[in-house]
Amino acid sequence: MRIFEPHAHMFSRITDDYERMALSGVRAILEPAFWLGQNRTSVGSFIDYFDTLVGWERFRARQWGIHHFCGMALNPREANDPRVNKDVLEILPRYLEKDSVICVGEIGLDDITPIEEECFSAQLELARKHELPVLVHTPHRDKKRGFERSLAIVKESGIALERVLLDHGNEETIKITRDSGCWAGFSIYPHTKMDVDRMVTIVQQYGVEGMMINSAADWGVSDPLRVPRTCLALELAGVERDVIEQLVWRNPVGFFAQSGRFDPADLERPPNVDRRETFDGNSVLRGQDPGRY
Amino acid sequence: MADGANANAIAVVERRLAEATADNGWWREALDRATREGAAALPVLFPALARRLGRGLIGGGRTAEPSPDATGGEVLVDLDVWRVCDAAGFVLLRACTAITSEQAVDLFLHGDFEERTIVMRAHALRPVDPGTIALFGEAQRTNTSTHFEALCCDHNLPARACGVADFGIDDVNRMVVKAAFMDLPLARMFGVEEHANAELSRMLQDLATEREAAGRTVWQDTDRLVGLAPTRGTLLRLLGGLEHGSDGRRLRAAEALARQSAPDLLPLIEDRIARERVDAIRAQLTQLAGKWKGS
Repeated sequence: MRIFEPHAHMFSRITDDYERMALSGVRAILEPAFWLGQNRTSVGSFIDYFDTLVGWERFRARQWGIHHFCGMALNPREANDPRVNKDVLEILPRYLEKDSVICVGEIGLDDITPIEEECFSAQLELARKHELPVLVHTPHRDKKRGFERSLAIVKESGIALERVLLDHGNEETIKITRDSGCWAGFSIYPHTKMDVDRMVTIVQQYGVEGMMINSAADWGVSDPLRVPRTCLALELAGVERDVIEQLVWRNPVGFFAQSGRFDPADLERPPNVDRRETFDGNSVLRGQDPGRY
Repeated sequence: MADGANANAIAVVERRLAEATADNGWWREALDRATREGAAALPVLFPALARRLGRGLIGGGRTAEPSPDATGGEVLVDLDVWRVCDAAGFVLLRACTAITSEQAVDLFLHGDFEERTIVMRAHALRPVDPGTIALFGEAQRTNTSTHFEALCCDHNLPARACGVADFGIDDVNRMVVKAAFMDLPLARMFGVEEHANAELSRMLQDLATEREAAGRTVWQDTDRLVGLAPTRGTLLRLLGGLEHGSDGRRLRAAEALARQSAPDLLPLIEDRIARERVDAIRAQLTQLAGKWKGS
């Protein structure tokens, strides 16, 4: 089973996770820019993080035959922080032009504040200007109202709704998303957000049209193998393999290909892999023979 | 940039770029914007160059022209390695009347893989300035061979920059040793041979000894470069090379010995001529023996 993991914060994961994901069928990853577990106090920290996403993480993923793409954004949490928000918005245009940047994200609402809404709207405009689809983070608190407000802001922006992915959905939000024409994302977590069994039920009830699932793996309790685990659960529940592949491959590939920044045919084979290569002096190799696994 | 300097190379780059970007509206707008806004526009324009204009080679061969800066000498560039996006990067930089050192380094540091390559390669046709020197520092820090090669190979920028500002012969030496470490051919570093020196020979010989002790391959241009500026141990290393099992290594040792003068060692050369089975090497050694006999 080929998997396009449409939301994983690999910045926070160890290299072994890349190997385990590759062994489980993950062939491409979208890493949206987000909060790093600790608030940043200057734009320089964002710049270094963004450079890592377009450079180092791409290189690290390629070591395991995984295509790495990313989203760029001022995340909703730090949109509230006057120490960084304006400066990050100013540097974004440069990063939104990078080859491996295939969406604007994660943007959206967290505490549902006026400044979050302002930054959300500004970044929707950037998405239009740079012709990129959008990955929208939806609030974990006051979820339904936040979801509806997010959708209203998206509609006000005038961006084509089929270019918008409303992420972190659940049973309460799926109908709203479906009716809107946006894509629906579900983050499968070990304990919170959405779990494997509930996801199976959703697929059985709604099908997989306009839908994708992700692990949203990050620095907290999360599991980068939640998508392959869900694939297995879906198969055991009787969902046809072709339907599962639509959910975890064709849907995310189709959505992010709207960026025009990659050819889906290129994902049919691994990126160029030369494990003797280095990135800024760091080979990731720890004395092992690069030709042997 | 001084008027007329690099004129032929720049004309080739501009002509090939114009051919490749005919009817490309994005490129026309990008060039207009760089001309209008200057260096401030480059961080947004550079990321799209490879994607919008492609990576096709422009061709054009090797050019040699007077240097555009105060360094004197010639600018040597092999345009056969330049791609359309490299040419576009150069033209954008040129369209901005002033690029500060910080701006040049910023384009490299915050660029992705292609942007970094473009920034480095484009500097081969630019006057040496503080930005160039700063980029040499970045090249020395990276092990991404593509970026190192873009700034140090297929042109004579390092040789041309030697002596400018803080970029001295020690820096050139460290760069050459890094190239040796990365196994890049000397033939791609135009003009570096002219900067051969005894300290560089010592560094290269030490690297070779270390590699040999580890049973690893030795940079194949070691003999050639140390032969240009022999130091302690050079003659013995070259003589030892004549007994090597590799035909290539013996030939390179023989060629490097041709630059030395050690008539006392003539019997050793004659002994090797008698046993050498490769015609080209034997001819080289015979010529060497004739030279030493006459000296």
